[in-house]
This record gives sequence, C-alpha cells and structure tokens, in this order.
Amino acid sequence: MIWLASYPKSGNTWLRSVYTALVQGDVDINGLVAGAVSSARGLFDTALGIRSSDLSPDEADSLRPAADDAAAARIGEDRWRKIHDALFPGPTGLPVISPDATRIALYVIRDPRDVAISYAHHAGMSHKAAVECLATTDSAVAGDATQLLPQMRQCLGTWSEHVLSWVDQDWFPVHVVRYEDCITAPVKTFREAFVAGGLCPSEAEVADAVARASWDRLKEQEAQAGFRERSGRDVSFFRRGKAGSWKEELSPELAQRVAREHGEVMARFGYIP
Amino acid sequence: MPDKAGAGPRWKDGPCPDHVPGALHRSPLIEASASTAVFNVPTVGKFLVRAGHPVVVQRAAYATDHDVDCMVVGPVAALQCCLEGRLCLRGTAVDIGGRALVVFGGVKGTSSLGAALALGGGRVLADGVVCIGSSPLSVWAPHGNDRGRTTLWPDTAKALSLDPSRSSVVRPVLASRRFQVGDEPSEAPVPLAALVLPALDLSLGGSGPLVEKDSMGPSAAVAALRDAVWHSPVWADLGRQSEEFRLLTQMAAVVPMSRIRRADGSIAATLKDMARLAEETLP
Repeated sequence: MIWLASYPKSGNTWLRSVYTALVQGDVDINGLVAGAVSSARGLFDTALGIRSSDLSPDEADSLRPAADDAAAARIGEDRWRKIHDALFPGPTGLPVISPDATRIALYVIRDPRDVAISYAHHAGMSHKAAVECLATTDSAVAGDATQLLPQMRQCLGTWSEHVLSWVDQDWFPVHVVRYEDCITAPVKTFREAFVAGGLCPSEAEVADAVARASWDRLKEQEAQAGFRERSGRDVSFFRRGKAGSWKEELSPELAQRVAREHGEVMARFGYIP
Repeated sequence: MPDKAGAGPRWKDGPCPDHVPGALHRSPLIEASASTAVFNVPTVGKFLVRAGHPVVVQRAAYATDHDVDCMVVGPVAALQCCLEGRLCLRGTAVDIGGRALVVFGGVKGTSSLGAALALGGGRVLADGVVCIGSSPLSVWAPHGNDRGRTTLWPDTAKALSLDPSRSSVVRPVLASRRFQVGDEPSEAPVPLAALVLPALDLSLGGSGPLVEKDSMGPSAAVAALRDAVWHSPVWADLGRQSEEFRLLTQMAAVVPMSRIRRADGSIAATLKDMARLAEETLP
C-alpha cells in the first residue's frame, strides 16, 4: 500500500485528484483512484469475513492491520489509499494500518490555521469549535457510537500529535508534501510525491495532470454532479483551495491560539518563524 | 434448502484448534478446508465450524454469551453455510405476502430498511445473513438466526419509533440492539421475488428529491451481488467460484433488482420513501 495520509481538510483530495489525472488521463471526483479510505467498512468486512458493526471501535482498530494484510495479499500489487487516522500505536503495538503491507506514506501537511477554517466549513461548526478540535487529543472522525456510519472511527489526536505520529514514526518511510508548496510549485511538488510513491512521470505529464485537476475543474464537477465525500453538513467540499485564507477569515485571537498550541510543529514545517 | 439436522443448540463451549489441517483458505481470521473452519476473533474467541454440527467456541477471557452469540448468528453462521455449499448474502430478507424481498449489500441501511418494510406488514426472514437457494430461487435464515428480529442502532430505532426497552442486547460493548419487528415468520424457505440495493447519494437532497430508484442491468447486478456474498474469498479458495457465479447470474437474470439511492441526513426523512420504492420492485 501507498498511503495518502493527512489530517482532514489538508489537501488529501487534491493530491488524489492529481494522481487520478496522472494515471487515468482525466478526473472524475466521484471515481478517484485511491478513493478507498482506510476506514471504509466494506473493505474491512470483505477482507476479514466479519462485520465491523459487530465490533467496538477499539476492536476494529486492532484488526485493521490484518485487513490491510489480507487485502494486500489478494491484490498483489501496490494500491494508493487515503487515510486520516493518526498513526498511534494500539494495544498490540501496531498502528491502525499494517506496516508490513506499507511501502511508503505521502503525508500532506497544511497550515493548521487554514485547516481550522476549512474543517469548520466541512463539519458545519464554528471556527472556535474547529480550533478546539485541533487541540483535542480525543478528536475523532466518525466517532459517534450511537449510530452506524459508513466509515469506522478514526482517531486524530491533536493536529500536532497527528503530524508527529506520521512524520516521526519509523515503521515505514514517509514523504512530506506541504499543501502550500502544491500551490506555489505544483509540478515540482506533486512530481516529487509521485516519484516517492514509485512512479516516474515526466514534468510535462505532471503539468498536464495538475491542469486537469485544477481547483476550478474540481469545483465545477462538484457543482454539476455532487461529491460523494462531502460531509453533508457543508455547502460544498471544494471551497477556496488557497493558502493563507486564515488571515482574512480567522479572528486574531483564534489564530494566536492555534500558533500557541501548535507552535513547535508549525515552526518545524515553516508556518511560523 | 435449510438444514433441519442442524436444529438444536447453535454452539457449545469447548476446545478449539488454532489451525485447520490441510486448509485451502487462510486469511487473518479464518482458516478453512472443505469441511472444517476455524474463525478467530481475538477479543471474543475461537470458533470451530463444521458442516451440520453445533459450533464449538473457545471463548476469550471476559467474552460474554452475547459476544459469542453475535458472532455465531453472523459471520460464523455464514461460514458454516459456506462449508455446506450454501451461498449467503449480507443483508436483510423480508417476507411480503409470501414473497421474499432481499435488501442487500453495503454496510449501512439494510437492517433499517428491512425493519421499515416489516413495520409496513412484512415479516423479517433473516437479518445479517440471508441464505439463498437455487432451485427454485428461495430465501431463508441460517440455523440460529433470530427470525423476526433486526439489529438497529439508536438513531434508526428512534426514527422507526421503536421502544428501546423492548429490545435485547447485541453485545455489551455496542449501542445497537435487537428488536422484534413485525410477526415472526415460519422457518420454510420463501420464494425470492426482488432484490434491493440501498445506497447513499450525496448529490440528492437540497431542493430535489431525497430518494430515487434505478433498475439495475444484469452485469451491474452480478457485480453488486458478488460484493455482498459472505466469505467470497473462502468460496473461491474452496474451488466453488463457478457455483457462486452460476447462482448470482441466475438471480440477476430472473429477479427484479433496483438500487435505491438516498440523500445524506435524516434517516427518518427517507426510510418511509425507501420502503415504498423497495416494495415497488416486487413484480
């Protein structure tokens, strides 16, 4: 497996869109290659011959590496897959994905102040609530145990914990992709990521893929046909796709709070001096 | 046809081997030969599964009867059917006027749509594991399945106005509960009359409809059914793939099948319409 990993709303879908354009020649946002998220119940259930809905979230977490192993054995070739979980070790010492079945992770990182804005929009919550999510160790996607959701629970940790869980682990190699570099130098940044993932596209091929997966095209497709990965609480999944929107949209107090709570990791990746 | 010889206790405690000699299928939780399988869920226990015999369970520390039962009536029952050469679909079957409508596939929405159909006058034949017979095409529950009951999560039970105090535990660690919905059906197989695949469609909603129905062509139908077959990799490794394919193509060829897409959001707002469209699939 080649994991396309990120905290939610950090550019994962954009990376998958450009990847799809590269390997398929064009993009349908509802048919993205690497669209099978690690936490999807259907894949897990089929791979293990069980129902994830019969398992507690902790039980499912402990079996997810086995599901990856089974899927990898059946497929027999590298698959690019999306994941939002943090890479915390579980009770068995393993994370929620199988290190044995993993070749590399491409980890997309984005300024957490922009993540907060985008996450608030996606989840239909206030900026303040989103900033609190980024600072909460217990944060999770699909964590409501009172209903059956299409995806299993994904523990996120705080934004800083999430980043460090991926970039400082030593189970398998990781290549970091800065969202902001995808905007300022898309061909170079995406090409480096694809090469790290084992592909060898030319600059012209990547430039063509970037053009086919432009933000405007993705937005247009969503407006025409919807996007199955929308949360249902947002107006649209593809919003502005810019770097630095927080300067216009996030209050100075909340921006300062994010910098205070995540300053060490933000400085390491060049988001604050 | 249902295996009458299997009537009796559905499981008993006892020692269970770690491995199956001469296994043809090995995956993280299952080892299987043509006649024997071991299913291992570390937090619940190991299950020795043989055709026509009660399941033997070597339970894990702290595993309750409910924990064991949950596995026995679900994946273990489907595995036993597999060893007996009987194909099972993931889904819920409802008897409507002597004809079986099977809501299959996916991982969300089959039990709730089945319950909505039962509340409209149907009877739940099977929930979770639906056995399919080929000549004639018919439906029944595997041994031990609680006919007339469905497993529902609190949001769905609330949407269907079901009283949680009249439900039973599925597993202590889960919020889902088993509800008696409608009358209990007989054990006899019921002719398969229609297949329904529920699906989420985020392009629906807004000012448009919340629910839509499409009929499915044979190739799409076979692909969708194949995704819903319990233990499909075991069938393949036991050399029964052609048997599986023959039954799925037979179903796709002669049974009306529709996909019912619903908008995201409130289940309460869509279940009634989904049930109506599902019933319209019946010939």
